[in-house]
Amino acid sequence: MIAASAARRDLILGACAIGGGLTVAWLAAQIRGMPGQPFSPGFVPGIVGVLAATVGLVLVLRALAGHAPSIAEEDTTGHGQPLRLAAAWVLGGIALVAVLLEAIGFLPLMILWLTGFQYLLGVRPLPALGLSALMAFAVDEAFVRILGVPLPPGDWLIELGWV
Amino acid sequence: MDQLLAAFAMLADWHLILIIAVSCVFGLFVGAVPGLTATMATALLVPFTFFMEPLAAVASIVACTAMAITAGDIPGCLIRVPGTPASAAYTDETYAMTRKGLAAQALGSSLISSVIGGLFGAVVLMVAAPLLASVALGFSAFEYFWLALIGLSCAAFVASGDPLRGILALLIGLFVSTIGMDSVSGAQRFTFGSVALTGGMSFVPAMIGLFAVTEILRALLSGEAHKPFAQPQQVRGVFAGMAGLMAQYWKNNLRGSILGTAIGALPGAGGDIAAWMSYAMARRFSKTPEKFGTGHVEGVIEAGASNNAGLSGAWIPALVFGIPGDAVTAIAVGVLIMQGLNPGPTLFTTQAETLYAIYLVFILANLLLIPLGWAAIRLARPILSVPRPQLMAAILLFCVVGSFAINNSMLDIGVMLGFGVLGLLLGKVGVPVAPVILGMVLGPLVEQNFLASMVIADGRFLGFFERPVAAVLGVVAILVWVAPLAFALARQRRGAIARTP
Repeated sequence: MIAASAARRDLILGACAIGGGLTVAWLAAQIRGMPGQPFSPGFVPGIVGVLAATVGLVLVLRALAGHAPSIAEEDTTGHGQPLRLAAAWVLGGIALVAVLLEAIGFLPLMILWLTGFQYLLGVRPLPALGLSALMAFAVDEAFVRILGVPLPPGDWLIELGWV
Repeated sequence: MDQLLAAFAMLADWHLILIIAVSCVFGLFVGAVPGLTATMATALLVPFTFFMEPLAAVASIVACTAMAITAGDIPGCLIRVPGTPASAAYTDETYAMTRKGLAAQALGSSLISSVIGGLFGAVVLMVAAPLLASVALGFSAFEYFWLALIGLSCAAFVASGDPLRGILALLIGLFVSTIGMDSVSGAQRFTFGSVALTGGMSFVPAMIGLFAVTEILRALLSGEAHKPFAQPQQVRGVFAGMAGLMAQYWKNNLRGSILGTAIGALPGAGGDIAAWMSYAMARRFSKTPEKFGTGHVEGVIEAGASNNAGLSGAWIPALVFGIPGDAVTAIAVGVLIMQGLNPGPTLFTTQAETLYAIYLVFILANLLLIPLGWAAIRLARPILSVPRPQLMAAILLFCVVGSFAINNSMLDIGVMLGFGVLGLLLGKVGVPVAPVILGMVLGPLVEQNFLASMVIADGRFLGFFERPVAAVLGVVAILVWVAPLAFALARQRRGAIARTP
């Protein structure tokens, strides 16, 4: 059972390494050399890509030969149910922050995101909101006053003349 | 002497002392909370160091990591959950001591031995680094290429139980380091027309993603995130009987400090491995090996000295050659470069005062361990009462703001997200993340020196061995690759012979 799981992991990892390595090598080969330069800018990335594909091939062959080592699994005994929704909230939230930070602003976006995160982990809404607001205001103040780096206030707040 | 006095003057700045003190407290807190590592503490600290003077930036990292590694012993001893991986080697031993009613002795001995190991490592750093730097001044592209290759190879082989996974992690880091504008030709590589990627993949958001976001996702997906920490007992009298204990086990302290410094200086190894090896060595040379695992202090002292000595040792190759000894110094090298202090032998002539001040910070941070470590032990109960959801929300906030504030770039938040997911996936298939960071930091050094060497050697491989030091380093690099292969083949052969009826 453990050997089969180790072999499957090696197969998946090896296939990804072959695919990724060959893609990098191919993209590196497309980079044009510069006149007077003995080596193309794609020379070193090309080597990296080929090496990654080679390592991937060895992983696949090792898995097929049944020699995949068993890597220690994380001990999750005694832990609760996986919090998939909270994990999705984290990932989706970071993606949204990357897109909407300037438009919505640091303070409203962070308060909303962190309140939702804590709520999904079982914290009651009001304390979650209070703590999120406190942390966001403290960090904003620290960046503006101590480090001199203003965080985005939000385009809509600027348009309303509130900032 | 003048440089030393100048270094003292640099250190006698209330602003710097305040930064060191705050970093110490931050390190103690992060180290004492299970699941938050010293590397993660450094990753979260880096965005703030960007706005500091170079010395303050390095000082905050040194102070924070020394505290975090030592504080990691506290939850290990009291609730059997190591605060950082560096404490894992002797967690069962210290917990067994707690069950025997010896928690104060366990924590006191690990604290004092950490201070001794840390000071020993700092002294070795002060003596060895300038000597090595004077030798390194004569190095050419060949020597630097081989040194970087040895560093990368050690990282790949040591960081994981499976060298293939370590190599793959390293190659990911090397590939990431090639993204952006090529410094020699000015050509765009893997930018896909994005202007934001011209400057390369930002190091800080990548690191925050790999170490902090990955850890949060892992805690959520393992269901560990809403489980409160166990409440520890109150510990008093930490320093009682310590002088006698340290005198009795002085050999363990010395051996742990020497081994820790040496392993720390080996690229890719660091304090975690140093602690495991020292604990094993303490048992091997003990007159009472049967007591190990039952709550015996000998291994705790040796491994405790070792992991803190390893921290200082890791700075030797980082400062002298720009080749980091572990993930923390990889981050620190990145910070030094961002601060305009390019690590290397010339740093010892152009910035000697700053380097002396850095040495003094090592000594100061290790001495501060005594009062602050004591305070952290006394405060273990409230520290471990912090609810995880709120703690994770605070970490997420620092992740976003830290990634964004370096360049005021939304792309950097995306980079953090990408590396967070990458770190999680790599963890699922057993690939270590520390070599990724080493590859990213050392990538430009390897590439530039490799290409320069190729041009000088006219493309001949033997040209890489024509200078004496380069030849020795080249042979060492080849041995690093050949030796594990030879051992594996020999093991397989022995196994085959044993199976033959």
